[in-house]
Amino acid sequence: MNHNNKSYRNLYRFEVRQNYRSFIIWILVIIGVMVLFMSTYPSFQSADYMQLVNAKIDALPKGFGVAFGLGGITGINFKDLYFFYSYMCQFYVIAIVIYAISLGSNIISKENSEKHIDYLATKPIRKGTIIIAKYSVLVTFILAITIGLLVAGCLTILTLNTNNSPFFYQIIRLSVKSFLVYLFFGTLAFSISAASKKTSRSSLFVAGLFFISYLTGIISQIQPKFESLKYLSPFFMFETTKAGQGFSQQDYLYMLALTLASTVLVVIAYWRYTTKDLSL
Amino acid sequence: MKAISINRLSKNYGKLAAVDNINLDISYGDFFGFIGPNGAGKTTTIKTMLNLLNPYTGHIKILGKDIKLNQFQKDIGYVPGEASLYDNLRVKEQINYFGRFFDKLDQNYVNELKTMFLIDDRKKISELSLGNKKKVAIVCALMNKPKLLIFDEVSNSLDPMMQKALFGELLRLNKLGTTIFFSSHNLEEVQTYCKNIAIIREGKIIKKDNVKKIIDSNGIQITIKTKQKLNPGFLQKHNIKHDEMGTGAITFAYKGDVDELIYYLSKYKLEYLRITDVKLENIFDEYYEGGSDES
Repeated sequence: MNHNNKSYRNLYRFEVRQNYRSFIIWILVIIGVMVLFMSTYPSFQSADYMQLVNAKIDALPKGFGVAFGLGGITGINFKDLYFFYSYMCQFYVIAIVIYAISLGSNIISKENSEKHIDYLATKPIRKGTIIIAKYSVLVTFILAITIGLLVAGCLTILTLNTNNSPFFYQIIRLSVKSFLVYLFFGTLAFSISAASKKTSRSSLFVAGLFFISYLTGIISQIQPKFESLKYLSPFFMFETTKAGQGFSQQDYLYMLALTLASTVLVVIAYWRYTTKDLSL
Repeated sequence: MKAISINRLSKNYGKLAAVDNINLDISYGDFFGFIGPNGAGKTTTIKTMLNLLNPYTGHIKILGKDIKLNQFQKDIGYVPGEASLYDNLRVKEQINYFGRFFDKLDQNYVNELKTMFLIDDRKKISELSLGNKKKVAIVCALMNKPKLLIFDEVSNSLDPMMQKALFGELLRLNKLGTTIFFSSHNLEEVQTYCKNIAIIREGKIIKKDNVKKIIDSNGIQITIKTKQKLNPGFLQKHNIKHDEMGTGAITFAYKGDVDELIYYLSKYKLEYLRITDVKLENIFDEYYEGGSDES
Protein backbone atom coordinates (compact mmCIF):
# COMPACT_ATOMS: atom_id res chain seq x y z
CA MET A 1 0.00 0.00 0.00
CA ASN A 2 1.29 3.48 -0.83
CA HIS A 3 2.65 5.07 2.32
CA ASN A 4 0.69 8.30 1.80
CA ASN A 5 -2.56 6.34 1.49
CA LYS A 6 -1.73 4.45 4.66
CA SER A 7 -1.06 7.66 6.58
CA TYR A 8 -4.21 9.24 5.13
CA ARG A 9 -6.35 6.29 6.25
CA ASN A 10 -4.78 6.25 9.69
CA LEU A 11 -5.44 9.95 10.24
CA TYR A 12 -8.92 9.77 8.66
CA ARG A 13 -10.00 6.89 10.90
CA PHE A 14 -8.50 8.59 13.92
CA GLU A 15 -10.33 11.85 13.28
CA VAL A 16 -13.61 10.00 12.68
CA ARG A 17 -13.17 8.27 16.04
CA GLN A 18 -12.31 11.59 17.71
CA ASN A 19 -15.43 13.32 16.37
CA TYR A 20 -18.16 10.70 16.09
CA ARG A 21 -19.50 11.19 19.63
CA SER A 22 -20.35 14.86 19.10
CA PHE A 23 -21.81 13.93 15.71
CA ILE A 24 -24.15 11.40 17.31
CA ILE A 25 -25.29 13.93 19.92
CA TRP A 26 -26.00 16.59 17.29
CA ILE A 27 -27.85 14.30 14.90
CA LEU A 28 -29.96 12.71 17.64
CA VAL A 29 -30.93 16.09 19.09
CA ILE A 30 -31.82 17.51 15.68
CA ILE A 31 -33.78 14.42 14.64
CA GLY A 32 -35.55 14.50 18.01
CA VAL A 33 -36.55 18.13 17.55
CA MET A 34 -37.65 17.42 13.98
CA VAL A 35 -39.81 14.46 15.00
CA LEU A 36 -41.33 16.47 17.86
CA PHE A 37 -42.14 19.36 15.54
CA MET A 38 -43.52 17.09 12.83
CA SER A 39 -45.67 15.28 15.37
CA THR A 40 -47.65 18.50 15.77
CA TYR A 41 -48.62 18.36 12.08
CA PRO A 42 -51.92 16.45 12.56
CA SER A 43 -53.17 19.17 14.92
CA PHE A 44 -52.80 21.70 12.07
CA GLN A 45 -55.30 19.72 9.95
CA SER A 46 -58.34 21.10 11.66
CA ALA A 47 -59.85 23.95 9.58
CA ASP A 48 -60.65 25.98 12.70
CA TYR A 49 -57.14 25.69 14.02
CA MET A 50 -55.61 26.58 10.64
CA GLN A 51 -57.87 29.64 10.47
CA LEU A 52 -56.69 30.65 13.93
CA VAL A 53 -53.01 30.21 13.00
CA ASN A 54 -53.43 32.23 9.79
CA ALA A 55 -55.20 35.00 11.70
CA LYS A 56 -52.35 35.12 14.22
CA ILE A 57 -49.71 35.17 11.48
CA ASP A 58 -51.56 37.94 9.61
CA ALA A 59 -51.59 39.96 12.83
CA LEU A 60 -47.79 39.78 13.16
CA PRO A 61 -45.68 42.69 11.91
CA LYS A 62 -44.12 41.79 8.55
CA GLY A 63 -40.57 42.01 9.90
CA PHE A 64 -41.34 39.65 12.75
CA GLY A 65 -42.80 37.13 10.33
CA VAL A 66 -39.75 37.41 8.09
CA ALA A 67 -37.41 36.80 11.01
CA PHE A 68 -39.22 33.55 11.73
CA GLY A 69 -39.28 32.34 8.17
CA LEU A 70 -42.76 33.47 7.24
CA GLY A 71 -41.76 36.50 5.20
CA GLY A 72 -43.03 37.08 1.69
CA ILE A 73 -45.40 34.19 1.99
CA THR A 74 -48.55 34.72 0.06
CA GLY A 75 -50.18 31.47 0.89
CA ILE A 76 -49.15 30.00 4.20
CA ASN A 77 -50.42 26.50 4.20
CA PHE A 78 -49.48 24.44 7.18
CA LYS A 79 -51.87 21.81 5.88
CA ASP A 80 -49.34 21.07 3.17
CA LEU A 81 -47.04 18.47 4.73
CA TYR A 82 -44.03 19.45 2.65
CA PHE A 83 -44.57 23.15 3.42
CA PHE A 84 -44.75 22.23 7.09
CA TYR A 85 -41.53 20.20 6.81
CA SER A 86 -39.56 22.80 4.85
CA TYR A 87 -40.67 25.56 7.23
CA MET A 88 -39.09 23.59 10.06
CA CYS A 89 -36.01 22.91 7.94
CA GLN A 90 -34.82 26.50 8.06
CA PHE A 91 -34.34 26.15 11.82
CA TYR A 92 -32.51 22.87 11.81
CA VAL A 93 -30.33 24.21 8.99
CA ILE A 94 -29.13 26.89 11.44
CA ALA A 95 -28.25 24.20 13.98
CA ILE A 96 -26.36 22.10 11.45
CA VAL A 97 -24.48 25.11 10.08
CA ILE A 98 -23.31 25.81 13.64
CA TYR A 99 -22.25 22.16 13.93
CA ALA A 100 -20.38 22.36 10.59
CA ILE A 101 -18.63 25.58 11.65
CA SER A 102 -17.64 24.10 14.98
CA LEU A 103 -16.33 20.88 13.40
CA GLY A 104 -14.57 22.67 10.53
CA SER A 105 -12.78 24.97 12.92
CA ASN A 106 -12.01 22.50 15.72
CA ILE A 107 -10.64 19.77 13.53
CA ILE A 108 -7.72 22.09 12.72
CA SER A 109 -7.50 24.43 15.69
CA LYS A 110 -7.64 21.77 18.39
CA GLU A 111 -4.56 20.14 16.91
CA ASN A 112 -2.73 23.45 17.31
CA SER A 113 -4.13 24.71 20.59
CA GLU A 114 -3.45 21.40 22.31
CA LYS A 115 -0.05 21.16 20.57
CA HIS A 116 -0.72 17.71 19.10
CA ILE A 117 0.56 19.00 15.80
CA ASP A 118 4.14 18.84 17.12
CA TYR A 119 3.73 15.07 17.29
CA LEU A 120 1.56 14.54 14.23
CA ALA A 121 3.59 16.60 11.76
CA THR A 122 6.83 14.89 12.78
CA LYS A 123 5.42 11.47 11.89
CA PRO A 124 5.77 10.21 8.32
CA ILE A 125 2.79 12.10 6.93
CA ARG A 126 2.82 15.04 4.55
CA LYS A 127 1.22 18.32 5.57
CA GLY A 128 -0.94 18.06 2.44
CA THR A 129 -2.16 14.63 3.52
CA ILE A 130 -3.04 15.99 6.98
CA ILE A 131 -5.23 18.74 5.56
CA ILE A 132 -6.89 16.48 2.99
CA ALA A 133 -7.65 13.80 5.58
CA LYS A 134 -9.13 16.36 7.96
CA TYR A 135 -11.25 17.95 5.24
CA SER A 136 -12.47 14.50 4.18
CA VAL A 137 -13.66 13.93 7.76
CA LEU A 138 -15.52 17.26 7.71
CA VAL A 139 -17.24 16.36 4.42
CA THR A 140 -18.03 12.87 5.70
CA PHE A 141 -19.79 14.16 8.82
CA ILE A 142 -21.67 16.88 6.93
CA LEU A 143 -22.78 14.32 4.36
CA ALA A 144 -23.73 11.87 7.10
CA ILE A 145 -25.82 14.42 8.99
CA THR A 146 -27.54 15.47 5.73
CA ILE A 147 -28.33 11.87 4.79
CA GLY A 148 -29.37 11.07 8.35
CA LEU A 149 -31.85 13.94 8.38
CA LEU A 150 -33.04 13.11 4.88
CA VAL A 151 -33.84 9.56 5.94
CA ALA A 152 -35.42 10.69 9.21
CA GLY A 153 -37.43 13.35 7.32
CA CYS A 154 -38.64 10.83 4.74
CA LEU A 155 -39.66 8.35 7.41
CA THR A 156 -41.49 11.02 9.40
CA ILE A 157 -43.30 12.31 6.33
CA LEU A 158 -44.14 8.75 5.22
CA THR A 159 -45.72 8.20 8.61
CA LEU A 160 -47.76 11.40 8.34
CA ASN A 161 -48.46 11.46 4.61
CA THR A 162 -52.07 10.45 4.52
CA ASN A 163 -52.92 11.74 1.03
CA ASN A 164 -49.85 10.25 -0.72
CA SER A 165 -48.76 13.55 -2.26
CA PRO A 166 -45.31 13.29 -3.94
CA PHE A 167 -42.63 14.56 -1.59
CA PHE A 168 -39.51 12.46 -2.11
CA TYR A 169 -37.86 14.60 -4.81
CA GLN A 170 -38.78 17.77 -2.95
CA ILE A 171 -36.96 16.58 0.16
CA ILE A 172 -33.96 15.43 -1.91
CA ARG A 173 -33.77 18.90 -3.50
CA LEU A 174 -33.97 20.54 -0.12
CA SER A 175 -31.25 18.23 1.21
CA VAL A 176 -28.93 19.00 -1.72
CA LYS A 177 -29.38 22.73 -1.15
CA SER A 178 -28.86 22.46 2.58
CA PHE A 179 -25.81 20.19 2.17
CA LEU A 180 -24.14 22.89 0.07
CA VAL A 181 -24.90 25.53 2.70
CA TYR A 182 -23.46 23.37 5.51
CA LEU A 183 -20.45 22.56 3.38
CA PHE A 184 -19.82 26.20 2.53
CA PHE A 185 -19.85 27.40 6.14
CA GLY A 186 -17.97 24.32 7.38
CA THR A 187 -15.33 24.88 4.69
CA LEU A 188 -15.12 28.58 5.50
CA ALA A 189 -14.39 27.81 9.16
CA PHE A 190 -11.98 25.05 8.16
CA SER A 191 -10.11 27.33 5.76
CA ILE A 192 -9.83 30.20 8.21
CA SER A 193 -8.49 27.79 10.82
CA ALA A 194 -6.06 26.27 8.34
CA ALA A 195 -4.91 29.60 6.97
CA SER A 196 -4.59 31.72 10.08
CA LYS A 197 -1.78 31.69 12.61
CA LYS A 198 -4.06 31.96 15.61
CA THR A 199 -6.74 29.42 14.88
CA SER A 200 -8.73 29.39 18.10
CA ARG A 201 -11.17 32.18 17.22
CA SER A 202 -12.09 31.03 13.72
CA SER A 203 -15.33 29.32 14.78
CA LEU A 204 -16.56 32.48 16.54
CA PHE A 205 -15.62 34.57 13.52
CA VAL A 206 -17.41 32.30 11.04
CA ALA A 207 -20.45 31.95 13.31
CA GLY A 208 -20.58 35.75 13.29
CA LEU A 209 -20.41 35.79 9.49
CA PHE A 210 -23.14 33.19 9.36
CA PHE A 211 -25.52 35.23 11.51
CA ILE A 212 -24.72 38.34 9.48
CA SER A 213 -25.68 36.44 6.33
CA TYR A 214 -28.87 35.27 8.07
CA LEU A 215 -29.74 38.85 8.97
CA THR A 216 -28.90 39.95 5.44
CA GLY A 217 -31.50 37.49 4.17
CA ILE A 218 -34.09 38.93 6.57
CA ILE A 219 -33.30 42.53 5.62
CA SER A 220 -33.55 41.67 1.92
CA GLN A 221 -37.11 40.45 2.49
CA ILE A 222 -38.25 43.30 4.73
CA GLN A 223 -36.89 46.12 2.56
CA PRO A 224 -37.54 45.76 -1.19
CA LYS A 225 -34.68 48.16 -1.97
CA PHE A 226 -32.27 45.70 -0.37
CA GLU A 227 -33.68 42.72 -2.24
CA SER A 228 -30.40 42.06 -3.99
CA LEU A 229 -28.81 41.36 -0.58
CA LYS A 230 -30.61 38.03 -0.57
CA TYR A 231 -27.87 36.68 -2.84
CA LEU A 232 -25.46 37.08 0.07
CA SER A 233 -27.61 34.87 2.23
CA PRO A 234 -27.77 31.11 1.84
CA PHE A 235 -31.23 31.33 3.43
CA PHE A 236 -32.48 32.71 0.20
CA MET A 237 -32.45 29.07 -0.87
CA PHE A 238 -34.82 28.11 1.91
CA GLU A 239 -37.71 30.40 1.19
CA THR A 240 -40.64 28.33 2.23
CA THR A 241 -42.78 29.87 -0.52
CA LYS A 242 -40.62 27.95 -2.96
CA ALA A 243 -41.01 24.77 -1.01
CA GLY A 244 -42.87 22.80 -3.58
CA GLN A 245 -41.00 24.10 -6.61
CA GLY A 246 -38.18 22.38 -8.41
CA PHE A 247 -34.70 23.86 -8.94
CA SER A 248 -34.92 27.16 -10.78
CA GLN A 249 -32.09 28.53 -12.91
CA GLN A 250 -31.30 30.83 -10.00
CA ASP A 251 -31.05 27.83 -7.70
CA TYR A 252 -28.60 26.14 -10.04
CA LEU A 253 -26.50 29.29 -10.21
CA TYR A 254 -26.55 29.65 -6.45
CA MET A 255 -25.58 26.03 -5.91
CA LEU A 256 -22.79 26.35 -8.45
CA ALA A 257 -21.55 29.50 -6.69
CA LEU A 258 -21.51 27.72 -3.30
CA THR A 259 -19.67 24.73 -4.76
CA LEU A 260 -17.10 26.97 -6.43
CA ALA A 261 -16.65 29.05 -3.28
CA SER A 262 -16.12 25.91 -1.19
CA THR A 263 -13.60 24.59 -3.73
CA VAL A 264 -11.64 27.85 -3.75
CA LEU A 265 -11.62 27.87 0.07
CA VAL A 266 -10.26 24.33 0.17
CA VAL A 267 -7.49 25.21 -2.28
CA ILE A 268 -6.55 28.26 -0.17
CA ALA A 269 -6.62 26.11 2.99
CA TYR A 270 -4.35 23.51 1.37
CA TRP A 271 -1.88 26.11 0.14
CA ARG A 272 -1.71 28.00 3.43
CA TYR A 273 -1.54 24.91 5.63
CA THR A 274 1.31 23.40 3.65
CA THR A 275 3.32 26.63 3.74
CA LYS A 276 2.57 28.24 7.11
CA ASP A 277 4.25 27.70 10.48
CA LEU A 278 2.37 24.76 11.94
CA SER A 279 3.65 25.07 15.47
CA LEU A 280 3.88 28.19 17.58
CA MET B 1 27.30 13.70 4.94
CA LYS B 2 25.93 15.00 8.23
CA ALA B 3 22.98 13.82 10.28
CA ILE B 4 21.92 17.43 10.72
CA SER B 5 23.16 20.25 8.56
CA ILE B 6 21.93 23.77 9.32
CA ASN B 7 23.16 26.46 6.99
CA ARG B 8 22.66 30.17 7.71
CA LEU B 9 19.35 29.63 9.44
CA SER B 10 17.35 32.63 10.61
CA LYS B 11 13.85 32.70 12.00
CA ASN B 12 11.96 35.82 12.97
CA TYR B 13 8.79 36.35 14.97
CA GLY B 14 7.73 39.73 13.66
CA LYS B 15 10.74 41.97 14.20
CA LEU B 16 12.27 39.69 16.81
CA ALA B 17 15.06 37.47 15.50
CA ALA B 18 14.54 34.24 17.44
CA VAL B 19 17.31 32.50 15.51
CA ASP B 20 19.95 34.61 13.84
CA ASN B 21 22.02 33.19 11.02
CA ILE B 22 23.17 29.99 12.68
CA ASN B 23 25.28 27.22 11.19
CA LEU B 24 25.40 23.81 12.77
CA ASP B 25 26.68 20.45 11.50
CA ILE B 26 26.10 17.33 13.52
CA SER B 27 27.79 14.11 12.48
CA TYR B 28 26.17 10.69 12.36
CA GLY B 29 26.52 8.92 15.70
CA ASP B 30 26.95 12.10 17.71
CA PHE B 31 25.35 12.64 21.10
CA PHE B 32 24.82 16.35 20.85
CA GLY B 33 23.69 18.75 23.54
CA PHE B 34 22.04 22.02 22.62
CA ILE B 35 22.04 24.37 25.54
CA GLY B 36 21.10 27.95 26.25
CA PRO B 37 19.04 30.08 28.59
CA ASN B 38 15.27 30.44 28.31
CA GLY B 39 14.26 32.26 25.15
CA ALA B 40 17.67 31.72 23.55
CA GLY B 41 16.16 30.05 20.45
CA LYS B 42 16.58 26.34 21.22
CA THR B 43 12.98 25.29 20.64
CA THR B 44 12.64 27.52 17.58
CA THR B 45 15.76 25.94 16.08
CA ILE B 46 14.44 22.45 16.78
CA LYS B 47 10.98 23.18 15.38
CA THR B 48 12.50 24.73 12.27
CA MET B 49 14.74 21.69 11.85
CA LEU B 50 11.61 19.54 11.96
CA ASN B 51 9.82 21.66 9.36
CA LEU B 52 7.18 22.68 11.91
CA LEU B 53 8.30 26.28 11.42
CA ASN B 54 9.45 27.84 8.17
CA PRO B 55 12.91 29.35 8.16
CA TYR B 56 13.15 33.04 7.34
CA THR B 57 16.42 32.32 5.57
CA GLY B 58 18.70 29.32 5.31
CA HIS B 59 18.63 25.64 4.50
CA ILE B 60 18.38 22.56 6.66
CA LYS B 61 19.16 18.98 5.79
CA ILE B 62 18.20 16.11 8.03
CA LEU B 63 19.86 12.75 7.31
CA GLY B 64 21.09 14.18 4.04
CA LYS B 65 17.65 15.24 2.80
CA ASP B 66 16.31 18.77 2.49
CA ILE B 67 13.57 19.10 5.12
CA LYS B 68 11.24 20.67 2.54
CA LEU B 69 11.04 17.28 0.80
CA ASN B 70 9.36 15.88 3.93
CA GLN B 71 11.18 12.57 3.62
CA PHE B 72 13.04 12.49 6.91
CA GLN B 73 10.17 11.83 9.31
CA LYS B 74 10.20 8.05 8.98
CA ASP B 75 13.78 7.98 10.27
CA ILE B 76 13.49 10.31 13.23
CA GLY B 77 11.94 10.37 16.68
CA TYR B 78 10.99 13.62 18.40
CA VAL B 79 9.87 14.46 21.91
CA PRO B 80 8.69 18.07 22.29
CA GLY B 81 9.14 20.02 25.49
CA GLU B 82 5.46 19.65 26.32
CA ALA B 83 4.02 16.17 26.46
CA SER B 84 0.74 17.16 24.81
CA LEU B 85 -0.79 13.84 23.89
CA TYR B 86 -4.46 13.09 23.18
CA ASP B 87 -6.09 13.13 26.60
CA ASN B 88 -9.14 11.11 25.58
CA LEU B 89 -7.10 8.13 24.35
CA ARG B 90 -5.75 5.21 26.31
CA VAL B 91 -1.97 4.82 26.28
CA LYS B 92 -2.23 1.76 24.05
CA GLU B 93 -4.43 3.59 21.54
CA GLN B 94 -2.05 6.55 21.52
CA ILE B 95 0.99 4.37 20.85
CA ASN B 96 -0.84 2.32 18.21
CA TYR B 97 -2.10 5.46 16.44
CA PHE B 98 1.39 6.91 16.05
CA GLY B 99 2.78 3.45 15.27
CA ARG B 100 0.46 3.01 12.29
CA PHE B 101 2.22 5.88 10.50
CA PHE B 102 5.28 3.66 10.09
CA ASP B 103 5.56 0.90 7.54
CA LYS B 104 7.43 -1.50 9.79
CA LEU B 105 7.35 -1.52 13.53
CA ASP B 106 9.06 -4.01 15.80
CA GLN B 107 6.24 -4.76 18.23
CA ASN B 108 8.62 -6.60 20.56
CA TYR B 109 10.73 -3.47 20.90
CA VAL B 110 7.62 -1.39 21.58
CA ASN B 111 6.70 -3.82 24.37
CA GLU B 112 10.26 -3.69 25.69
CA LEU B 113 10.05 0.09 25.84
CA LYS B 114 6.73 -0.05 27.70
CA THR B 115 8.31 -2.38 30.25
CA MET B 116 11.50 -0.30 30.48
CA PHE B 117 9.52 2.87 31.25
CA LEU B 118 6.98 1.10 33.49
CA ILE B 119 4.05 2.15 31.33
CA ASP B 120 0.55 0.86 32.05
CA ASP B 121 -0.98 1.03 28.58
CA ARG B 122 -4.54 0.52 29.80
CA LYS B 123 -4.67 3.92 31.45
CA LYS B 124 -6.13 7.00 29.83
CA ILE B 125 -3.66 9.73 28.92
CA SER B 126 -5.71 12.20 30.96
CA GLU B 127 -5.12 10.07 34.07
CA LEU B 128 -1.34 10.25 33.73
CA SER B 129 1.01 12.59 35.55
CA LEU B 130 3.22 14.90 33.52
CA GLY B 131 6.17 12.55 33.97
CA ASN B 132 4.18 9.54 32.80
CA LYS B 133 2.93 11.45 29.75
CA LYS B 134 6.54 12.24 28.96
CA LYS B 135 7.36 8.54 29.17
CA VAL B 136 4.62 7.73 26.65
CA ALA B 137 5.97 10.46 24.37
CA ILE B 138 9.46 8.92 24.67
CA VAL B 139 8.11 5.49 23.72
CA CYS B 140 6.35 7.06 20.72
CA ALA B 141 9.65 8.66 19.67
CA LEU B 142 11.77 5.53 20.08
CA MET B 143 9.34 2.92 18.73
CA ASN B 144 10.42 3.16 15.08
CA LYS B 145 14.12 2.67 15.96
CA PRO B 146 15.00 6.04 14.43
CA LYS B 147 18.37 7.00 12.98
CA LEU B 148 18.06 10.42 14.60
CA LEU B 149 16.45 11.32 17.92
CA ILE B 150 15.58 14.91 18.71
CA PHE B 151 14.57 15.82 22.24
CA ASP B 152 13.54 19.17 23.61
CA GLU B 153 14.20 19.16 27.35
CA VAL B 154 13.38 15.49 27.55
CA SER B 155 14.31 14.72 31.14
CA ASN B 156 12.11 17.47 32.63
CA SER B 157 9.50 15.91 34.89
CA LEU B 158 11.10 12.43 34.81
CA ASP B 159 12.08 10.95 38.15
CA PRO B 160 15.76 9.96 38.63
CA MET B 161 15.05 6.29 37.98
CA MET B 162 13.35 7.04 34.68
CA GLN B 163 16.11 9.48 33.72
CA LYS B 164 18.57 6.66 34.28
CA ALA B 165 16.46 4.27 32.18
CA LEU B 166 16.13 6.86 29.43
CA PHE B 167 19.80 7.75 29.21
CA GLY B 168 20.75 4.09 29.49
CA GLU B 169 18.65 3.36 26.43
CA LEU B 170 19.92 6.44 24.62
CA LEU B 171 23.53 5.42 25.23
CA ARG B 172 22.76 1.92 23.93
CA LEU B 173 21.12 3.33 20.79
CA ASN B 174 23.96 5.82 20.35
CA LYS B 175 26.47 2.96 20.42
CA LEU B 176 24.44 1.28 17.67
CA GLY B 177 24.78 4.42 15.55
CA THR B 178 21.72 6.50 16.41
CA THR B 179 22.42 10.22 16.40
CA ILE B 180 21.01 12.04 19.40
CA PHE B 181 20.32 15.76 19.54
CA PHE B 182 18.86 17.15 22.68
CA SER B 183 18.31 20.49 24.30
CA SER B 184 18.47 20.71 28.04
CA HIS B 185 18.78 22.99 31.01
CA ASN B 186 20.28 20.17 33.02
CA LEU B 187 23.95 20.77 32.33
CA GLU B 188 25.03 17.87 34.50
CA GLU B 189 23.32 15.40 32.16
CA VAL B 190 24.73 17.23 29.14
CA GLN B 191 28.23 16.93 30.60
CA THR B 192 27.68 13.27 31.48
CA TYR B 193 26.26 12.05 28.17
CA CYS B 194 27.09 14.43 25.35
CA LYS B 195 30.09 14.21 23.05
CA ASN B 196 29.59 17.66 21.55
CA ILE B 197 27.60 20.72 22.46
CA ALA B 198 26.50 24.04 21.10
CA ILE B 199 25.52 26.99 23.24
CA ILE B 200 22.90 29.33 21.85
CA ARG B 201 22.21 32.78 23.24
CA GLU B 202 19.89 35.44 21.83
CA GLY B 203 19.48 33.38 18.67
CA LYS B 204 23.19 33.00 17.96
CA ILE B 205 25.47 30.03 18.45
CA ILE B 206 28.15 31.39 20.74
CA LYS B 207 30.11 28.19 21.27
CA LYS B 208 30.22 24.75 19.72
CA ASP B 209 32.80 22.23 20.67
CA ASN B 210 33.66 18.86 22.06
CA VAL B 211 32.51 18.55 25.68
CA LYS B 212 35.77 16.97 26.86
CA LYS B 213 37.79 19.65 25.12
CA ILE B 214 35.72 22.41 26.69
CA ILE B 215 36.05 20.88 30.13
CA ASP B 216 39.80 20.31 29.73
CA SER B 217 40.42 23.81 28.40
CA ASN B 218 38.67 25.28 31.40
CA GLY B 219 41.08 23.80 33.90
CA ILE B 220 40.06 22.30 37.17
CA GLN B 221 37.54 23.19 39.79
CA ILE B 222 38.89 23.84 43.27
CA THR B 223 36.85 23.96 46.42
CA ILE B 224 38.63 25.00 49.60
CA LYS B 225 37.66 25.92 53.10
CA THR B 226 39.91 27.96 55.34
CA LYS B 227 39.46 30.44 58.15
CA GLN B 228 42.35 32.52 56.84
CA LYS B 229 41.96 35.43 54.40
CA LEU B 230 43.12 34.53 50.89
CA ASN B 231 45.68 36.65 49.12
CA PRO B 232 43.68 38.87 46.72
CA GLY B 233 46.69 39.27 44.42
CA PHE B 234 46.64 35.58 43.52
CA LEU B 235 42.89 35.63 42.92
CA GLN B 236 43.17 38.66 40.67
CA LYS B 237 46.16 37.25 38.76
CA HIS B 238 44.19 34.16 37.78
CA ASN B 239 40.91 36.00 37.27
CA ILE B 240 39.25 33.78 39.84
CA LYS B 241 35.64 34.58 40.42
CA HIS B 242 34.94 32.62 43.52
CA ASP B 243 31.65 31.68 45.08
CA GLU B 244 31.13 31.85 48.80
CA MET B 245 29.11 28.74 49.57
CA GLY B 246 27.69 30.06 52.84
CA THR B 247 29.75 27.65 54.93
CA GLY B 248 32.98 29.46 54.28
CA ALA B 249 33.90 27.16 51.37
CA ILE B 250 35.17 28.82 48.19
CA THR B 251 34.79 27.27 44.74
CA PHE B 252 36.65 28.51 41.68
CA ALA B 253 37.83 27.35 38.26
CA TYR B 254 41.60 27.32 37.92
CA LYS B 255 43.38 27.33 34.56
CA GLY B 256 46.92 28.21 35.72
CA ASP B 257 49.95 26.16 36.68
CA VAL B 258 49.10 23.38 39.16
CA ASP B 259 52.47 23.64 40.97
CA GLU B 260 51.84 27.34 41.56
CA LEU B 261 48.40 26.54 42.95
CA ILE B 262 49.74 23.89 45.34
CA TYR B 263 52.49 26.28 46.48
CA TYR B 264 49.91 29.00 47.03
CA LEU B 265 47.50 26.75 48.94
CA SER B 266 50.30 25.31 51.09
CA LYS B 267 50.55 28.69 52.84
CA TYR B 268 47.11 28.25 54.32
CA LYS B 269 45.73 25.92 56.88
CA LEU B 270 42.97 24.22 54.88
CA GLU B 271 39.98 22.62 56.52
CA TYR B 272 38.81 21.18 53.22
CA LEU B 273 40.18 20.74 49.70
CA ARG B 274 38.42 19.22 46.69
CA ILE B 275 39.73 19.11 43.13
CA THR B 276 37.35 18.07 40.31
CA ASP B 277 36.78 18.72 36.64
CA VAL B 278 35.16 22.06 35.95
CA LYS B 279 31.40 21.71 35.72
CA LEU B 280 29.73 22.69 32.47
CA GLU B 281 27.41 24.74 34.62
CA ASN B 282 30.30 27.06 35.57
CA ILE B 283 31.45 27.34 31.96
CA PHE B 284 27.93 27.96 30.77
CA ASP B 285 27.64 30.80 33.27
CA GLU B 286 30.79 32.29 31.79
CA TYR B 287 29.39 32.14 28.24
CA TYR B 288 26.04 33.37 29.37
CA GLU B 289 27.58 36.40 31.02
CA GLY B 290 30.50 36.97 28.67
CA GLY B 291 31.21 37.17 24.96
CA SER B 292 31.38 34.52 22.28
CA ASP B 293 34.20 32.63 20.64
CA GLU B 294 32.57 32.42 17.24
CA SER B 295 30.00 34.27 15.27
